[in-house]
Amino acid sequence: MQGLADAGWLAGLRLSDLLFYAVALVAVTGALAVAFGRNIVYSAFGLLLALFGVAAIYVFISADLVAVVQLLVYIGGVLVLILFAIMLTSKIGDARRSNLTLALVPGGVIFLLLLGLTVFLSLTTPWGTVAGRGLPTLRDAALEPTSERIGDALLTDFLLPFEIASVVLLAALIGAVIIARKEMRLLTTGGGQGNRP
Amino acid sequence: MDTLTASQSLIWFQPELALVATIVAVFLVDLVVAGRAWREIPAAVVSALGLALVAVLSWQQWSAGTQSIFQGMAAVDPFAVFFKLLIAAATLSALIFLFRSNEMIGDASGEAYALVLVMALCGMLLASANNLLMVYLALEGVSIASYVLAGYSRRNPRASEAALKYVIYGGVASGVMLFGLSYLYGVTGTLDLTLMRERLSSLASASTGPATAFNGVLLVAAAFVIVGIGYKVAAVPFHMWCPDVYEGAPTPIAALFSVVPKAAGLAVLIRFFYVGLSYGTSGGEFIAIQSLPWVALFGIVAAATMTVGNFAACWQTNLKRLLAYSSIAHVGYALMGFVVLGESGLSALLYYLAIYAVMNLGAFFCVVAVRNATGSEDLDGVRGLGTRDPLTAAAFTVFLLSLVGLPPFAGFVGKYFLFAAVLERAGAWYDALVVVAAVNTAVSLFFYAKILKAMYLTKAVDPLPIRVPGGQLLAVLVFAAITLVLGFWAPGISRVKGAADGALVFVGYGYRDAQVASLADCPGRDRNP
Repeated sequence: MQGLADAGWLAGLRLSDLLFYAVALVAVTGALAVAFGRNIVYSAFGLLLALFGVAAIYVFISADLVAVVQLLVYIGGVLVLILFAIMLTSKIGDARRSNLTLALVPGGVIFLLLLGLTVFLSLTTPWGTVAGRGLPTLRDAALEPTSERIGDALLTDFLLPFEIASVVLLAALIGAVIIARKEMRLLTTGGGQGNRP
Repeated sequence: MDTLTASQSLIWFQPELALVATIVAVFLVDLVVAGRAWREIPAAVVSALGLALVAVLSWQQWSAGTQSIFQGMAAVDPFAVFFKLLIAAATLSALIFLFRSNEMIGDASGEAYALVLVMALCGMLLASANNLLMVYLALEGVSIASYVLAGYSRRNPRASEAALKYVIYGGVASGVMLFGLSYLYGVTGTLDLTLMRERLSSLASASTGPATAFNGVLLVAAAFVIVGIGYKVAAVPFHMWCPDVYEGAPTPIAALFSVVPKAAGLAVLIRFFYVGLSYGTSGGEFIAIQSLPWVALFGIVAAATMTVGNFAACWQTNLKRLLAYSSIAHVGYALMGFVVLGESGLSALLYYLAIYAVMNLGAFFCVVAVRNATGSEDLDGVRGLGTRDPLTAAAFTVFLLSLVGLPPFAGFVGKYFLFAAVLERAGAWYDALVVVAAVNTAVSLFFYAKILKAMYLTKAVDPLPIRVPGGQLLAVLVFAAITLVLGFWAPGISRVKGAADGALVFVGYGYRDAQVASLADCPGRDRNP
């Protein structure tokens, strides 16, 4: 980012741009905390920051419904569940990694290559110019309610994915019950076989 | 071609609707009879009847022409129907071996049938998805059902490990793919595959400067999609989960894993790259959009996949792991047809897939039969099978020789079409690919012959004859008969080949009618009416 900071770029900054960078910083910091946090509780709170930052970015691109859903479902629901799971799991601090090979060097190389690639692509690609009208950019996204249009779209253009998602979720729900029930039975019968981490 | 609205689309969606109804019915029936000793029977019967109905309804769509349904979300075309029939038939035959399998949790079997049906449903949707959102959703559906099924077996201590590995690999792969899809959306502003190709064709004429500015992002997006789908079909850099999952999963489920997700994954791969990222010419050949070298990526993947699969299989003693590596290798062979960029290659791929489904399911079913009878799924378990159960051993021999690709069996014909399609294209790289495939075929003989040697040339630990239940034996023998007959009976071969040729009709892709003479004309080509 420092490389780009010539005078012309700075002069074009608006308050909304500054706000965007602040929010993006929150999201990235949170994501880093999730990945590198030594304590799993810290990681969970890092996830809170990351999800919140992403919700704020949704507001920036005028996706109000998605932002609210992100708050309600991910922060209000999923994250709280994760925290409950962490708090209720006994001896979670005693968990030991059975596989100690971290592969830091190859992992780091792949990370740096991918980082360079994605940054390069995001800077050099003329995004959204093919579609004719172009994709909305951060600056010209008007703040108008989207819930009505999304609701319409879900029941017309996107009806099939909307309905199929329910089948997929049904399978996921039942699958979760099956897996959990199996673990319970293993515990009651003495828990030996099949319970490897 | 007009796209139909939701209510008009329903009549074109009958097979999938029937399958959804069957899934719900299995869940409900299972609740009603919960706790009874015979509770598995109604679930199995409802599943089988439902799948048979689905197959019939799909069959009727074969000659119904092409139609884009649900605002372009899904396609009903011979290509999709081919895969729907393949998936329905494979699932139906696997039910025979799932029934009363002692590898499943006894009192949760109704849900197992429903999950198998969910996997089939999402596999069918994957084959007909014409929109990136549907592609992703269907892929996740197949994955979620597979994760649960992989960890289903209670007695196998490796089941939970397999399921966990599968989930973690799958999460990473689908995340990478989703990122690639977001690139495509960012460039084209659409999720519809047909529309995407149309917009990508006009790259040069748009007011965007040189069209080459898009090459980087398109290539990376293509590579990321290969990660996501390559994981599903277990192509080589993304194959690590495959042996562990097959070993941990109940054997009938592993048999399904080796066919349904792979067929669906290859289907979506073909539709994505051939409909979304290439033009067809009237000569039955294809040209990649922007001359992107994704074919080269696939050439490398295909060669690596068959080599790793075959060489790793040589050291396996567990039959399920061995067949897992063998199935990896066969995806490598099938991908050779993908590299050709022509109708002949695609048709050879579809033919091979149909043959592979029969012979691979057959081989897995033999392992199920042996495992149920002896409790062992190792190479030692089949020792002396030639005397203990001559019929199963004979069928197993047919499947194995066909998997090698030896002449009087169906696998040979399938490989012949693939090799011929690749050799049709001039170029040292194509020749090299065929050489790699030929060397691999020779290597594969070694490990398939290891099983044959164990069955016929070594003495059994326990010489008592074993009995395979009548239904299972019949299914295995029918599969063996198909494998044998499609090896030399010309009318049968040409019929299947005709189906594979006829399946190469895609919605919104009228390359057959196009009178495109040269590459220069391609970018300006309009969407087919």
